[in-house]
Amino acid sequence: MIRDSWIISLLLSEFISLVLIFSAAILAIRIARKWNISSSAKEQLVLERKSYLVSTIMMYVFSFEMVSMWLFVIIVNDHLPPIIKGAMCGTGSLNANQFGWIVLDLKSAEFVFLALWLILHHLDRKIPEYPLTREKNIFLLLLAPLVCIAFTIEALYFSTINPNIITTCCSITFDTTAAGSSSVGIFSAIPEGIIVRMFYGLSVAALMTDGLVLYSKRWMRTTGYVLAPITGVAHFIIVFLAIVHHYAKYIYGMPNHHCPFDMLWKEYYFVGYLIYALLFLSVISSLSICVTGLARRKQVIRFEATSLSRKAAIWNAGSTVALFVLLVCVEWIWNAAALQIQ
Amino acid sequence: MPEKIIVADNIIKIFDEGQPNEVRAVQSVSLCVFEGEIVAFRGPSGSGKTTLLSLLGCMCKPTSGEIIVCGERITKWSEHFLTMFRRKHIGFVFQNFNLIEHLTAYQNITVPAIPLGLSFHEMNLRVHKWAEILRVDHRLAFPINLLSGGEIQRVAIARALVAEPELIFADEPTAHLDTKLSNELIEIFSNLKDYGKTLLIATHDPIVYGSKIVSRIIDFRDGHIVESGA
Repeated sequence: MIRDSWIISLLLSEFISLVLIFSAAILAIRIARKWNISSSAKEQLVLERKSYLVSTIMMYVFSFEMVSMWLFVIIVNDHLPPIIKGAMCGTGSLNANQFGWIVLDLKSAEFVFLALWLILHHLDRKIPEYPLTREKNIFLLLLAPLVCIAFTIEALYFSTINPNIITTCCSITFDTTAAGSSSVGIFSAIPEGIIVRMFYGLSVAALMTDGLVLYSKRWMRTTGYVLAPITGVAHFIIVFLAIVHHYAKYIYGMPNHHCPFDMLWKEYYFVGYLIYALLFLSVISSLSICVTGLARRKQVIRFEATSLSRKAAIWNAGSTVALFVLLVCVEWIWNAAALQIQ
Repeated sequence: MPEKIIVADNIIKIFDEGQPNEVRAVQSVSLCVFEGEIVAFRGPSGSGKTTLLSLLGCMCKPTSGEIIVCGERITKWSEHFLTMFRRKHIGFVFQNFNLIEHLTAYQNITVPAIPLGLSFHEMNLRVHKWAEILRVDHRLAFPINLLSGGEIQRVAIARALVAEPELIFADEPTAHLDTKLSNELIEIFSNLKDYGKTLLIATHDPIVYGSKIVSRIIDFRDGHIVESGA
């Protein structure tokens, strides 16, 4: 399986990301240890230039990761199902061995953290003294092992797929009447109605948190900074569950079709890409509120960090509302159409 | 009352600190320059004039001390921000002109305006404005190697001015000029004062520091200010 040209392309692009991030990490060790913006020494000048190099590398890594994320979805959703027995979509491909869902989770985490690194970098570059350089390089050092682990597990996933072993697909994995084997399996027991209410509730909670960041002062705003990542991550998980348990059947127009991958196909107007793009935008912006909130502790960057956190809150509110409207509209349109038929 | 455009507080610049070849180029220098002034730094070769000019011109950072230029504390700034600041606020006239030989006078003058993101029309207007003021407008299409010494110097000044900076730094601007051309240059500097520019000139040429246009002379020896007066 690993000799497939699509998989080779994907692993090659991942490997390039890995090499790039490790070369950046080597530079980051020195920058994190010796950074002193007050120094007039030649070494500081060299570190400043290396810091630009690191940021350029990270932009490339992010671009590669974005492309490879898309390539991964295309491979598991379009390319592998005809090869693997029993697989009809991405769910079947990911169920082909124990690594599939872990790869998807790790790649999602990697993408979100890389985006957060770039946001931290963007904030750092706003002040002539670069007050966050040490912190962003330490963050990079934590990111490098994640990229390495994701690459290793991805290589293991593709190398251990046996196309002759029959795999289970979405109809069984996301069967809401029994616990499945996927990463959403543990939530399968939660009734659909509760998940939908949780989705409504968390959307409101996310908007209220954005309101705290945007309109409140002092400790109330600090509460917003603390709550934003909690509501953001919870919202991300619940939206995914709500899609699988409830909204997928409206998108597909079939009461027992719960797949989170089929909506990425042309038959469903690629609506899945829009949903997941909004979902990632929502979680990245909510975590950005937290990151910029932490950066506010540094007096020199307080104003810029506050301004950026407000922008992140606006993006978060926008993506949360857009996602909510999109999913709810799909349900309403379907219900209205069903009523007309009746 | 003119505003302070440069303030240097107890600045020290040590090259290769802690090494056997350590050089203490500038030692505990404090000064301030007011808007519209023409200040001459006078001193023998190796006295630290050029280093001080580089420090005040944001080309390098001091080992210690504080520098404020155009109201900004630049001492702890990164190289990237110093470059952006220089681009906007400071023009340099170098001892060896540092023009690009295979380019025309027009192209040479344009170079500092390119990163400013000006429109072609605005850039063209500025080049012609300064070329006219400095009387090199008839030579704009000529490559640098076909110009006379005085014209080359004037092109170098036009290049320093095209970004419309508040501050002009000139390092030994008359070093390669004869008496006639040096006097012409002083006349040009005098005109720049009328345009509200502040000039800092490092020189040991009596024609420059002896001229009436200089508001203040700061004497420099072994990295120290030994005398400062009108």
